[in-house]
Amino acid sequence: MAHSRLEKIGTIYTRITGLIRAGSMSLEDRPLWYEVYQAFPPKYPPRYDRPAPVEPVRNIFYPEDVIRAKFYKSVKNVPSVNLSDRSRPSLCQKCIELCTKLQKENNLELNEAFDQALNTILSEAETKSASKQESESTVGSDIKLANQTTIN
Amino acid sequence: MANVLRTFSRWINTNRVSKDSIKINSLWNRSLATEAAVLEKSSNLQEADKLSALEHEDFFNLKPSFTIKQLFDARVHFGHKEGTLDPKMKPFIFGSRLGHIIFDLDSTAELLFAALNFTAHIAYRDGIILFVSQNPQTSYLIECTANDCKEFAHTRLWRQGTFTNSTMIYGAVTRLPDLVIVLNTLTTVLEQHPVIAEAAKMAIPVIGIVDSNCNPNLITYPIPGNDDTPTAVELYCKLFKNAILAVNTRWLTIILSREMVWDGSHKKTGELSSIF
Amino acid sequence: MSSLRKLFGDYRSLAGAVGRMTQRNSVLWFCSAVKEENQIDRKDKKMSKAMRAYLERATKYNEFMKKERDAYEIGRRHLANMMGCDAETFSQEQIDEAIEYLFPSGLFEKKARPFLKPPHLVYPLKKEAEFDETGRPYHFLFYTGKPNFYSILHEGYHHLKALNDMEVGKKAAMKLTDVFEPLDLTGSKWLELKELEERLVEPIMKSEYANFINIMERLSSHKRAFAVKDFIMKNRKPLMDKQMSFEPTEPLTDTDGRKYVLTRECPRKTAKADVKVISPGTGLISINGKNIEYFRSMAARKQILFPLDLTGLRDGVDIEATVKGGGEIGQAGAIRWGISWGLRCFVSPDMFETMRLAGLLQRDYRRPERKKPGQAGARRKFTWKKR
Repeated sequence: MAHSRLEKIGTIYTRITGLIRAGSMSLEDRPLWYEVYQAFPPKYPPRYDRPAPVEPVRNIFYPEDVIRAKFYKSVKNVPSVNLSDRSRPSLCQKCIELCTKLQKENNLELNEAFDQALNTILSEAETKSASKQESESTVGSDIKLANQTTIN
Repeated sequence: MANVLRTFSRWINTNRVSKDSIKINSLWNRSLATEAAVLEKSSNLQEADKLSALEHEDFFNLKPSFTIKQLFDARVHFGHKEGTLDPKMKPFIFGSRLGHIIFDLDSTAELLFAALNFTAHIAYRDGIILFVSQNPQTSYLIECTANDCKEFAHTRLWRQGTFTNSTMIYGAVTRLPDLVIVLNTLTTVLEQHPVIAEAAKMAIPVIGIVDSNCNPNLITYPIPGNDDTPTAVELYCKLFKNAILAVNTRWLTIILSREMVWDGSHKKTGELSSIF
Repeated sequence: MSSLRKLFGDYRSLAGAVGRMTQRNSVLWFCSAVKEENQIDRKDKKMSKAMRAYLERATKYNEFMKKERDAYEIGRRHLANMMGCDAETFSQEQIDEAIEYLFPSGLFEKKARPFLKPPHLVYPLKKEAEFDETGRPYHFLFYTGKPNFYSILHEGYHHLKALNDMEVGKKAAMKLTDVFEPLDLTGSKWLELKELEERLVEPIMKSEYANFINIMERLSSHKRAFAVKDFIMKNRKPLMDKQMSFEPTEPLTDTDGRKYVLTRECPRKTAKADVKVISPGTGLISINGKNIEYFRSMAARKQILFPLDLTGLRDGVDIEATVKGGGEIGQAGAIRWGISWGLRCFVSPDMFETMRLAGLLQRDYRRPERKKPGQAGARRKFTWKKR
């Protein structure tokens, strides 16, 4: 190719355009992408020396982050969560929803609402696990009975 | 006196240059116009098709090919840690969540569409598209993608001068690709893939997935997004493949419509002959 | 029109098949490409720079090869003239003999000695064009510079993935669902770096070869490797020892109804013998048309008779042997091995085992040790004189 190999000057488009204007590249020999680039120029010109903006990176925080922090501070044994399962909200998510709901409905302080929400969530979880255990034990006894009957 | 002379001569010089540039500009415009006319006159329908395709904003109907939700589900928004951020990536960033960079998926979607559209137009002109990456984890996937859409892949060690010294590398004069799609712009944590500089030297446009620790400046159509997660890379591969294959369907419709016209005329002549 | 090609995948795969022609054909293809050059010029003015350069190279290569072929032909005729033979029927074997006679060389390395061979055996083969008229390559890994090598790695990983998918119980990518056997790889080994390079016509680095071995080992040690046996065995070569099977072969039948086994080129030292063992026989032995008295020394005669005595077939078979090269012991050893090799087809399995244990079926690869400089012989030193 006849063009400059200094990639740090201008963009590929300006370099090729310069060549065509100067007559060292005929219009027929232009690269295949030339018109496409002309029709759809990139949003940011691909210059090597394009300066970086000086703005600082903002932090992403949400109002419910306070509740989230409180939750993880008070609950030490967090149950494992399946991240790919979007249909089931995590314990923390449930707590946040309940807490904001209580705050809105009963005009409670954040601390009070959080305590209430946490208590209900934890008791719910406990009853759930207890019922689960019970059902498992009953299933186990059933199997035992079945085994006995088959032996007899 | 000498000073006055110097300024005068400078004034003349600048004037001449500007005049020249005006002349060249008009020449340039005329040449483009004449070429368009020639194209029309020669009734080269394919060339005309290619030019008219550029007037559409989304000729290949690629906008509906992906949604922001899809990008989010494929974990495209995850960047690296804040400490590794390249400041040139700031325009594409939504913010930092507890020390992790999060991309602005709105800007990603906009740039991704631009890249897909460009890819499709290059494929429409029968350009050679080369998929490049040096990540062993995704190399098989990328090679398969390239093979499926009858394009090319280079996912191995990049030999210095593959583009700039291609005659020696390939042992013969070789046509270089018309577009390079880089799915991982880094070779190690700190070094940029040499293909980007080489393509810029050889005036080959580059489409690149740029993560938060990459430099997007030399990349013609950068796509800010996660380049490490397999689901994200799978999504990019799928989208590029669809964009390239969309060209074929587009061609098919054009050809079919032409054939229908031809068939119609043929039938007419057939009728005429039967009358006679 | 070239864009139309994109629609029809078959076209590219067809062209790919042309591109993947064997090495021998590539030269032929070179010729045909040049013949078509003019047609292409007329047909398609928009031929790419790459294709034009390729055609130029092809013509140059063909011209060079033609010149070399002519030179070879002249050399052959000159040699025939010198040796007093008919130039028309002067074969390559005769050329080799003539050169050994006319240009004797004491060089140890055989490759360094003078030779005259057809040019296509001497000059390296050129790769055929890897792209079409528009300059678009055929192979999807063309831009890596080593498409053949990297496609082996790609294919290897493809197979490995398919086997793993089968293992996991996903949709079976292969139809060989019944085969669970691991692959038995004894008696063969992976292609060496140089052999691989030669086969693929591509230079390969050591690190890349290590990658090749790595993926092949992973594939061949897989539980279901039998399903991709063809791919694995394509990249292996048989070991030398295993190549010759000890198993007896079925004897052929002569015109007079007797069974015989003919073993060609039985080697021992520099002697080579063609031995024919015929059964049933009366104990006739003919060596180059003479009987056993062809050998003067008793040791040589004993060597011939040993396998016959061991099997007890001294009066049961006839032996016909032609032998050349070497000395008396070498010739006798060559015939002995030929007789044993033929007899193994006529004896019981027990006797076969006895013969094997007696070492009759083992080839003798020993050669005279070379002479060293500063010594009288291989080991012998010059006489030591104090002054």
